[in-house]
Amino acid sequence: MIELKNVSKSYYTDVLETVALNDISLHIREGEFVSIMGPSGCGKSTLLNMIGLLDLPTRGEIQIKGEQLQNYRENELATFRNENLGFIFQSFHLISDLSVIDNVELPLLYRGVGAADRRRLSEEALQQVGLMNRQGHYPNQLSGGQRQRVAIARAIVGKPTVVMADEPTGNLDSVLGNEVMQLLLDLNEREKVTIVMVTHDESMARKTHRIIRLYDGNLVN
Amino acid sequence: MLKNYFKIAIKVLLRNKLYTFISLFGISFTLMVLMLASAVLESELGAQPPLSKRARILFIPSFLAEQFARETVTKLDTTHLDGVMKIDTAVSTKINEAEITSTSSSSLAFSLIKRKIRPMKTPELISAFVDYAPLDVFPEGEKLSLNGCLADANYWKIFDFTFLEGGPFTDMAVENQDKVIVIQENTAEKYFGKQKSYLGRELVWGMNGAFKVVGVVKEVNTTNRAVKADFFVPVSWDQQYRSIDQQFGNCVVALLARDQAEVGQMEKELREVEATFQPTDDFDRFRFLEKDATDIYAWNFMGSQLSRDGQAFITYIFVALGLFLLIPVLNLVNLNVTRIFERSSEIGVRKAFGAKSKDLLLQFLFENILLTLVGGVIGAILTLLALNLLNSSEVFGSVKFSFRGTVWVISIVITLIFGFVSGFLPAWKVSRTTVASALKSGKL
Repeated sequence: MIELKNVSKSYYTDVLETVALNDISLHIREGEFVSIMGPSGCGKSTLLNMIGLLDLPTRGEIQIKGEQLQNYRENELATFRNENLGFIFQSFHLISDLSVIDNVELPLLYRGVGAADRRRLSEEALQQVGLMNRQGHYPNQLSGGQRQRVAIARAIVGKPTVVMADEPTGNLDSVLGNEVMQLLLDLNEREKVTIVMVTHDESMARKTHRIIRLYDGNLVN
Repeated sequence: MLKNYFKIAIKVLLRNKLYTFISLFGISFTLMVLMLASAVLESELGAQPPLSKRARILFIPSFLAEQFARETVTKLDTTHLDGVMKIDTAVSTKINEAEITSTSSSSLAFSLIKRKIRPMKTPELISAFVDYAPLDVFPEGEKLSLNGCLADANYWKIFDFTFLEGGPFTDMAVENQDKVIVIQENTAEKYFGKQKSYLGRELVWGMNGAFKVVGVVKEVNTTNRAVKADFFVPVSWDQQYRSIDQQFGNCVVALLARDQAEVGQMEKELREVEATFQPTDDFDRFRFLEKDATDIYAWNFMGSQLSRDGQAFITYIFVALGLFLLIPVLNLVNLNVTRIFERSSEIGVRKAFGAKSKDLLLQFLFENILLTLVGGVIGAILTLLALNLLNSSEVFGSVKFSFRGTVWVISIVITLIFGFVSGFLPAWKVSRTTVASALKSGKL
């Protein structure tokens, strides 16, 4: 499903090269729920950004659903992300000017889905996360847990094959965190969505199929 | 998609009320200043009746005579005659053209115009007129101060006045010193009271007697004194009209070139005419101080009788206007740039979920267009209010300024370009960054 071959990522300043990822190769199967763990600054988020096509590797190959993506152009990547990937961020990243339902509709908007279908699919996604009654609210009128559930609805509304979750429970207390985790587990279980999750929380990670550990930009096995 | 752009644009503008207010104020105020300035410039410097041919007209409002410095040189020669030394003294006067000791300038005399200007070849038409002839009249016992213009027949051919009734007086009327008068509509109403027709009515011009109205002209929309008179009578009524051999008088000359390109040739011919003057006892050199309509206008504000400052005046106006507008424009650009960088996180989210650069640029363009159009409408309303105020306050006398639709459209386009540059470039820059780094910065 997801194949990384010798992926490296370096950041450059005038005099310094900082290696964030060093020669990472890994394979994630379809329907797998994988968590990425490691200390702060070890490159977890960078790795997730590579897999999610939010950033480009300095070297190496990225293949998702059989497509070689590292040489795709910006617009082609945008289309690929739109059709295949969903994202959940630690700080939710909801657009505060948009109502809950408009936030959820976002991926469908860029896919060119008609207004009526967008509304129907978004309502379904909100139903799935139990927030049907909040669709007219704005993000700042919701609690943290509710915001993350809106973000999950946005991530799944386009029926992606892979969902990237960057510390989805990081900003939530344990009760709300567990609720969100349960939603992800259900999503993986029922819809067979492949999920790649970065987390600091060992207990959350243990609920997933596999833990990938990173240290200083290297895989630890 | 458009509905979505519209929706988010409205939300964004309403969310940042201070930003929206500052932007709208900036845009509408800038527009208002631009429109007021262009309304004044168009009214004062635009080609409209009776100065439709202004680009082909050269005025000679004054004539200058100069005297050069004279140096007395005394030569002493010694001669020896029969062994006796004698001193021979020779005194001569040397003229120093570099130093001018005295000048005299005034309007032109008719005799000068007849001798030197009328024979000119390059102008298509030549008019001699007196643009200042004050007259106090007392219709119904109330004092009414008027300014008259003593004009010849060519005056009416060079300046295309709009006649509401009747027509101009002819060459014959000028030669015969007919008691005929062309009157400006408002003056007619003040003097005669409101009438259906003023033709054939008589205005008493002091000792000269009663003058019959042969034409009524529309009020002119300029401050140019050459055409801004309350009434017009034949120039032959000027006391100096038949005098001979004078240089200085009350007259202004208007020369009309066949086309704009020939104005320069008229100037050249004036220089040739100047060269035909013979030095007199008092003066060594004579010059015509010609000016075009813009120079005449500039003369009210800057420069002197001697210099032609129209072009410099217009340059100053545009530089001043440019500097004045630069501040709000730079502020708007800065505000816009900051705002877009602030929203880079939103751009990141949209890109993550599949927005292409094109989608994002369109969204920001839409927001800018909306802001500009709202600002444009407010600016138009402000301009109308300001014009109303300006026209009713009569700061510029009876000159009335009007709203120019084309200027409004041009200003809107300029504002859109600024909006485009200030909104589009940073949006483009942000949209080119990777989603990961866009997400890290800014707030949602």
